Amino acid sequence: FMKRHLNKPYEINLMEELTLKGITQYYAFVQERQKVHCLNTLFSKLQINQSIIFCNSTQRVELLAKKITELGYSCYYIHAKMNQQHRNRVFHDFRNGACRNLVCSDLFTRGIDIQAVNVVINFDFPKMAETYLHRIGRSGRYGHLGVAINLITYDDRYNLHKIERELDTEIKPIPGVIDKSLYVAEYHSEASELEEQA
Amino acid sequence: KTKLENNNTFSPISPTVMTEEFDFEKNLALFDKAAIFEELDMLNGQ
Repeated sequence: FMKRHLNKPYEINLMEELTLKGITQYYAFVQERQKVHCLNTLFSKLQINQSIIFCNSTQRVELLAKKITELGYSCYYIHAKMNQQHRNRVFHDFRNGACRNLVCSDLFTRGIDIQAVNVVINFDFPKMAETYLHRIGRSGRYGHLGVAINLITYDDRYNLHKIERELDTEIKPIPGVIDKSLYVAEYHSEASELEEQA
Repeated sequence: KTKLENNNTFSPISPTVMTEEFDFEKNLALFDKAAIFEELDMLNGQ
């Protein structure tokens, strides 16, 4: 088709390739009933500029958003069963910084490129490598900096293994203290200035 | 199964537990990732 109808076409790949570069990936080992407690501790320990928290079903998105609000943190939520207009509205407001945290299901097919998001949490670990990449990966236009934290249960072990192997990446155990230069912009610039001086 | 899992995840947690920090280290020690991965690699014939 292309050869017959297009005369010397320029080929542009509109889907910029997603990359995990610049994103530090950690896992925390938990039981289902510990997930909310674990998330609460993460909220109190991390320096979150904006965060996105992923769940594996629309029902869990709503349940988690309710819990987060009860814990005293503000959040928006979006999932596939909301109408498009409402979804766009919420996403637009989140992008403009109207709220710090967004809980959602997998509805972005090209990855999320919001500069202000420095923390992504997989409250539920995905089953497919492609889904993981869309959640965590960045298009690489910006030297994006961030941490991804995966809550892993014993049942997730097969998917964790499969996804690490398929994406040829490593998800490390979460350390006691997460170095701020890995995901907080101000700290990063200070650290790189020090490196340059050294 | 979904309902059971949701109950497990979202049932109320005692306020005293919530004021304590989640113990990441203690929980990580319950999951020997290297050993599990080795076993899964063997099963996959690598």
